[in-house]
Amino acid sequence: MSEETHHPNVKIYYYVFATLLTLTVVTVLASFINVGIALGVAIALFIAVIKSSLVASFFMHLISEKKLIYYTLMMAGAFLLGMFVLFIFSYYNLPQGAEYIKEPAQQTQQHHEPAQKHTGEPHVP
Amino acid sequence: MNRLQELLNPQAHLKESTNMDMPYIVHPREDTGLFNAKLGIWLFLASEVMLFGALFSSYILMRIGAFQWPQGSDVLNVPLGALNTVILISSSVSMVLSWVSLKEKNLGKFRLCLAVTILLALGFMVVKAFEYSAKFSHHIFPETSTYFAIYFTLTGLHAFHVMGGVVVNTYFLFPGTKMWQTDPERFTNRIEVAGVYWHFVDLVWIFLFPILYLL
Repeated sequence: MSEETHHPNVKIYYYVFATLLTLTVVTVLASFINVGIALGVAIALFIAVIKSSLVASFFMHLISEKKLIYYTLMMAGAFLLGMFVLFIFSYYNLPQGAEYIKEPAQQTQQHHEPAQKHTGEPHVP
Repeated sequence: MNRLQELLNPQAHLKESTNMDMPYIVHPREDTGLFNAKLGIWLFLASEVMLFGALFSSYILMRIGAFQWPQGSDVLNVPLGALNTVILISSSVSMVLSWVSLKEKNLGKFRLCLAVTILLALGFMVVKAFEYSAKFSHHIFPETSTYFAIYFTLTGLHAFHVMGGVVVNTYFLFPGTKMWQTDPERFTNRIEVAGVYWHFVDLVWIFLFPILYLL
């Protein structure tokens, strides 16, 4: 066990709590500002990363953890990154001649199903 | 001399090993500095990272491939989502305080903090149940759209994790507390490990809330 776990500092938990609540309010307020989807996603994820770092560092004691835990998490992180990359590559892996539906106008060619059924599915002409 | 003893009684070391207690369940191993449960929970959480990571990757892929994606705030109740975020963050604080109470050898305060954690977790589930029933009453199901498919999958899986935490914490609040009398240090370690899991559940929600409710 680390030194930190022998002498837990209660005050730090209250500070982290207050910061997390504040950042939750900031996340909600920021979502009402119309900055475009790309910047909006970037801001929301940036705040989420800060909040999760605070939880992991202080509540989960990662700030003063042993090296083996860091190595375990680094390995998980590397696999996670690899999986994200593979998933995003698969976006480009469509059957020959197929393409993603980009314009809602194309949807009028297929009247027999509701519009929401098509979201995210590749369209083969 | 040892070699001679081994030759004379080859089963001796077996007998010795069966009488031994499992090592490192209370005190950390010298080379890693970790007790078993601490390493165990982090290995488990590493696998959980992959489980939720696969679903987050699916979310990204489906979203960038979709020509139409609803704004989360148009289809979900943002105040309820924000309330659940506050509930889970508060439960994380009460969970860590329950562990601090054991470090301070205050069993009464530990019980109070852990009970608050469980009640907050149940409060989260009640809010979630209201949200789900509102969707079902409007005939919105996972099959309704890709957005709702990933919404129900991610929040449903997360809710199962919340329930798992409730079961474990309830065990520690009632029958599991007996260990405090016999082996307080080991019990404190157990609460620390249960807490690490609980904070992970909170951490996942910190990402789920903005991507599903706000973006």
